[in-house]
Amino acid sequence: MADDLNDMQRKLDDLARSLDDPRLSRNVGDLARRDMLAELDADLPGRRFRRWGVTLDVRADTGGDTTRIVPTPEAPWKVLDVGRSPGSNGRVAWGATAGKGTWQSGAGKVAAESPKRVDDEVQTILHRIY
Amino acid sequence: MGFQERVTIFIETKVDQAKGGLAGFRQQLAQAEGAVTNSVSTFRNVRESVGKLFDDSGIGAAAKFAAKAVGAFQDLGVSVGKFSDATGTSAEEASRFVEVFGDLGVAPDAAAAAIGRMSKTLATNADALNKYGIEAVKAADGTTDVSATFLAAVDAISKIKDPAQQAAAAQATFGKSWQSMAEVVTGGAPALKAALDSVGDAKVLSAADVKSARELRDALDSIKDAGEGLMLSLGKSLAPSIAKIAPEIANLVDKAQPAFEALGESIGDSVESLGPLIDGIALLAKGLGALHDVKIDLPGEAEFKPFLGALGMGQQAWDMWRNQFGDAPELKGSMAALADGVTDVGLASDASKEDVKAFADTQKDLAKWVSDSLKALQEQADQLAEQSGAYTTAADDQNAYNDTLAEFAELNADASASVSDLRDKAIDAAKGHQALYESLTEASGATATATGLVDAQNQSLLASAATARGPAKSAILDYIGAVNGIPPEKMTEIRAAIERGDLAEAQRLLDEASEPRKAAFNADATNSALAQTNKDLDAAAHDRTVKFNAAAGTIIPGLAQLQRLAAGGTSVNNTYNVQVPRIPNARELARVSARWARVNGKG
Repeated sequence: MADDLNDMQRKLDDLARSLDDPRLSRNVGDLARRDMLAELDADLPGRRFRRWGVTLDVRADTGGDTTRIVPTPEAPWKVLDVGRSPGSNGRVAWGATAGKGTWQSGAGKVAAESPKRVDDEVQTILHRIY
Repeated sequence: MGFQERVTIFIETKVDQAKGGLAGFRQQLAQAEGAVTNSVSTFRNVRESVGKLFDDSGIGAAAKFAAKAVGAFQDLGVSVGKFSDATGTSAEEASRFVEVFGDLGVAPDAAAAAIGRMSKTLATNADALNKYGIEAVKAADGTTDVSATFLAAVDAISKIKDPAQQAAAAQATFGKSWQSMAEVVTGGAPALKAALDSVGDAKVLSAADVKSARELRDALDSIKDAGEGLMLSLGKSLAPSIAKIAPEIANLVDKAQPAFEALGESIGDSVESLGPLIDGIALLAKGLGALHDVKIDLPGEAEFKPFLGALGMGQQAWDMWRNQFGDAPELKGSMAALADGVTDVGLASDASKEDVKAFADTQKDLAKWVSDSLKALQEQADQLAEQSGAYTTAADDQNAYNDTLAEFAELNADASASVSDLRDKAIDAAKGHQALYESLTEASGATATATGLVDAQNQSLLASAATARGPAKSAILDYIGAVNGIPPEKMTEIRAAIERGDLAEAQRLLDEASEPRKAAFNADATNSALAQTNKDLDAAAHDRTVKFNAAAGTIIPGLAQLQRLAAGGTSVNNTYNVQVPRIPNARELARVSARWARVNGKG
């Protein structure tokens, strides 16, 4: 009986450690980043604004139990998402463009999918331990 | 605020509550483990007393012994303690009596009651026994020596020649239960004393042993309680998996059971004393990992190992079984053939008939044990799935009731809300409280009564009336009067109590005046179980607000902003928080969405 209790104790310790592991957040964050990049690829194949000379990316930063999904660099993402007004900086003039709502669309998907993913992570932990 | 800052997504995976629950459970488990270890240690000293339980034959003997021995020690210790408490004998004397009475087939409880009756009669009506020559024997310190008095009483009664007189004396001394111990009484003091003296020292427990046994019992109880608490903490995550694996377990058992059942008799109940926690959580949690992809034609090692491992000592049984079979292709053949003597299996062509028979017997035992294990696993799955479902329903009801109360409070604070809206909301809350009472009762294993339903309704209505604004208060009280059939003059008293802020008195008056209720209150024990369940459910319902939840699709994008908007009317921005929120109910969603539309000029 004591052995059974010891075994249970070890499993519970493992479970507590695993729930504390930042990998749980990181895994969910990585999947969210993949969602955002999929949206980006759909709206902007190659992920580049040719004239800007920059490549758009998505960063996933995990700290403790929180992961931040951040568009980078900021300016081209803003143009892609909400568009831009016509303007000029004195040297170069530009026309208006309509945003494609890329980030908003991806964020909706992340919001819908993440709870299930957290649950999947927890289930994976439970399956591994038990 | 820059674009990047506004649109950053925060994904929070909050499992703090689960971790907190785990920490508490682990602590209780550690305490229980200590108690078990101490008891095992104590047990070694009294091993002789239950030595007959030690069985060197069959599989898993050592593990089986450990589980059974601890259980037997606990039972013996608790039984001796109870006898000692009931009769005033020492633990050592009680041990001897329990052993001797046990050998004669007399239940310790009945014997203790008879001796207790003797002591009481000697203390309150000694003359009734003195006439038979029975008197209290005093110890050196002047107290009654119960053991010696019992021996003296048996001696006196056994010497009465007339059977009718003897029966009358025994009845007067020990009460009606004397007949169950007639062999002891009529056998006389010398035989009884000899039997008591013959009890081996190893079977005599000390007060410390009894204490240890009781601690073990309490420890196991605490594990059980803690385990139920843990189920609540983890239940929201485990419940879907339990539901998912239950059919697989049933499928597995359906396919494997007939073959195993054909193979013989039960070999053991080695896990019987481990309690529902070990039987339940460990097995089910093990099942989560083990059963997911199990497809059984005939069991392979990889598929069966987790089951047997979950049952603790089963791994050893499986290994033995596998070793004896080796990798024989016949393993793929009929398991039932084994029951007929394993000749079809062809493993023992060189062995003697006796060897074959012995081999077959061992396989029967092993197979039946696996069969029993499977059955136990299925029962545990069914029970936990049922319990989990009941708790889920109750937690939902609790959330719904809390939501309705919050809506009532919101309306009550809104000066423009109509009296009828407020009254209707109070009625909604009362119905929600009824539903909560019903599901709580069910979750606690009891049955909701008509009285309970009426009380649940009235309790909520009174609480609403106490906080409602003037005209709404009257409307709710009028409703209470109508629905309970209370005359106006009585309602005036109830109203006065509410006005004084004396809700308890109002409740009492209402209970008193409401129409004859159809059922009696449940016993205190049931109410106590209900209270505990309610407390557990508070925690469970609370967990739902912060824990992971698999309800994808029910959480609308941007819900967090909508909720903030509903709460404070702050400006909308494009930050998307995914906080694994609790599942909002339909009404909450509708309210928040309407507000969202209004703020955005679309309503």
